[in-house]
Amino acid sequence: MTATEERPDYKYVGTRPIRHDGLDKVIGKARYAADLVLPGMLHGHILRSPHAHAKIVSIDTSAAEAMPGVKSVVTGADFPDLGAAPNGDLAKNVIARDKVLYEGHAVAAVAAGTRREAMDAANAIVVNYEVLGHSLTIDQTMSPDAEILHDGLITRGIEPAPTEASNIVARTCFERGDIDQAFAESDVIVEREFSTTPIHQGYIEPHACVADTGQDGKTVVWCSSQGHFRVRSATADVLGWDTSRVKVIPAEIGGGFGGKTTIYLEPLAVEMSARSGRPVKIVMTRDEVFRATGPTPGSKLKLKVGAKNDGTITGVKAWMAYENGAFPGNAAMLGCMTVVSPYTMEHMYLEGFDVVLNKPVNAAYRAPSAPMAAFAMDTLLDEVAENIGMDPIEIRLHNCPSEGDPAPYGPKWPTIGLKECLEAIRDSDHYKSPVPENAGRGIASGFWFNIGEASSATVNLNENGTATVVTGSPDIGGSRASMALMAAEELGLDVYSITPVVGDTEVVGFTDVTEGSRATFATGMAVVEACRDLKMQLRQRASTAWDCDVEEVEWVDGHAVHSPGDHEALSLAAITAAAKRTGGPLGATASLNARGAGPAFSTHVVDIAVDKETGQTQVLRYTTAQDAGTAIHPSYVEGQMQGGVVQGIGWALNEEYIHDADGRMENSSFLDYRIPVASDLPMIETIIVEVPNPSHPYGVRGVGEVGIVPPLAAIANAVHDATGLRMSDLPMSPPRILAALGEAVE
Amino acid sequence: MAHVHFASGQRRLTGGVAEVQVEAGTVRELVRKLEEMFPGLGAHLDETSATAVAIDGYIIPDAMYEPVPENAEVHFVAPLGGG
Repeated sequence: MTATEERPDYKYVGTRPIRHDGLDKVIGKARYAADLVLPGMLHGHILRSPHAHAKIVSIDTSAAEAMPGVKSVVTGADFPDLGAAPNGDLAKNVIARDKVLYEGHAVAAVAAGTRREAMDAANAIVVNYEVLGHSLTIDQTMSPDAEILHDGLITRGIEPAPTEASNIVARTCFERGDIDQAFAESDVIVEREFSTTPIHQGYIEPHACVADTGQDGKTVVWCSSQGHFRVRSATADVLGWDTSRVKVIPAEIGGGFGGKTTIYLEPLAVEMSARSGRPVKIVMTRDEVFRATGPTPGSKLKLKVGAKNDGTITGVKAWMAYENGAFPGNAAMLGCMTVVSPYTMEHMYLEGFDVVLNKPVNAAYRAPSAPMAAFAMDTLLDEVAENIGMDPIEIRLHNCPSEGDPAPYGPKWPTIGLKECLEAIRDSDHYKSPVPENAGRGIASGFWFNIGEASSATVNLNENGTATVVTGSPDIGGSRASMALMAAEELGLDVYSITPVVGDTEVVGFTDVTEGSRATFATGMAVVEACRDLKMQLRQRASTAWDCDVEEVEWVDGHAVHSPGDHEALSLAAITAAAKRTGGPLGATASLNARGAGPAFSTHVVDIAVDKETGQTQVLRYTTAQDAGTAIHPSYVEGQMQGGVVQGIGWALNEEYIHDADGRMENSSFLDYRIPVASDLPMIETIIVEVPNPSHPYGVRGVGEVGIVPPLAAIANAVHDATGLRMSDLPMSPPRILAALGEAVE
Repeated sequence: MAHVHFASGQRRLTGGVAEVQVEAGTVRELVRKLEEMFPGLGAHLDETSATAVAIDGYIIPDAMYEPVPENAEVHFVAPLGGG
């Protein structure tokens, strides 16, 4: 680890205990939504559109309803039209109404006694479609001739406002200085066009849920998600129900990475459970996950970078179009906000276009929109460095922002640790070592905002001196262990005397979805606040026992200590054992809207070998340095860093959606959609940089996302170093590299 | 006085003004005063981004009742999520 200041003398924070939920997961005892079986439970299956774009002329469910075992059949007509309400598009994505907008769009759902019966009945539903023209690329959908997906979609951000609908959702622009002047003053100008395809998050556990709706009109949902409170509100909205009718119990989650911050199945299961009076389970297949759940967007980017011979970036001009899938989003805006964040410059003109097209609607994926932007920017910066003969780390240090500099999206940077990440890579064994023979080395940096938002925690002390920490954040990366460590540090309790629990929507206060690298930061703040409340209560109980003023009692390493020294210290266990006599059980709750999320930066170095006969690439060595603020549990910080890198490697080298001419996905399985596996990769080396976030009691920034930002560019730069090729279209798969090598020879 | 900065996309509603100084105790009061200065801006911020405000570099979601410190640097930014 690399730290900018001496770490306080923590006893538990920064240690590496085995996670509390680890054993159950290792031995297969952890309960996922698909594991749940309830008495009388039905199995649901969803009929999906075979067309990329079509009007639904009619749906006839009569044959399906008459089939053996079928208890319920629903279509879009069974759900309210939310119009322009906040979850209106989500409702139409859960189940299509008058149109299907992508292959895989849900059209109807069946609940039956067995999954086979439900599938057979779904296949008996007769849907008449009027097939429409479709768009699968940014160029197609931005064309004036493109078939319009949404009749009322008028492009935002253009003055005067257009009078006709298009597939362009919004134009975003961030401008500073005079970009023409920047290029006029430049010694070097480089520009290229880049493209990336949608990429799936690739979580191992498909979406799954069980809903049990009672005769009292209330429902209980068990599901895999990154935020069960969002599942509750979104499910209620899609059904047109009051939120209080929905209770959501979080199951263990088998990966999310942003892809489980939304809903697909739950309203369908709830409605069919209500109609049948039986619990309903729906589990997606991998094929459905690919065809119907959100990938990260494809993009088309044109960047132009100007620089002086001393390495100073004079300005950046960017035209960035991002796919949003079938419904509007803000992917391009996030691209504009992140593309030049690791660099200072006087002049910039960043223009973004969000478009809709006939693919599944986007879902978040670690640092959404930032990796594509960094791919373009850091590839061009590498080219600038090469042109002026400057070390790729030095040019990044030369243009590195620090506290007080303006971020490209406006505000001044608070305390940040990019410089420390760059220095950590520069000083690493990896960077100091020679580049292996027949290989190339690449460098890139990345940025992500991190966010705060609402979190709640309840900490209860048990009569034997142990504690239970209940939070509302699903544990997608070891957050239960982090919560226990912070509670241990505050209370002075051994970390294994603390049981961290993820509470359902009726046992813990509202908590926003686990996204934006916020769980350890924001929910951790709530845990700390609750523990500090408890420490005050513990001091008061000791003062009651000692008949002294509470100000005479300190809390030191798990004990109440009488400052004047008239009494022997009382352990936490001694106080809880006597709690009934001193006022009753001890517990505390904290709910907050966390402020002060600390921005995250990361710098990577990678060595890549390229087989020039086959185009095959091999990652020989990879090192990532990332500012965690403070690593509460270093092993899980490293895990997040490594996970981000590995997913970025897949994005860079292999992963892509392949559609046929009719817009049907052709590689909807892990056999054909190639994600990296352990045998493909070396151990990803990690350097945790710690520049504490002054807004968090332990300096936490959040670590879940930024690790996926640099790999695309770092690998492209390594491929260039190895072959001389500037690869600007992802993935850099063997056929693409081979073709580029062939073109280079010609 | 808070120093309020407008992104280029917001300046079409401020007549090109990039920065103003406003005396306001909370974000809500600030938005009201901005609406008085630039009619239409308050509604635009409400619709698009006022729920996320950067105060002295830190982005705060759902910030309408957030206190605005003396001499604070204020930017209205898009609400953020993430993965």
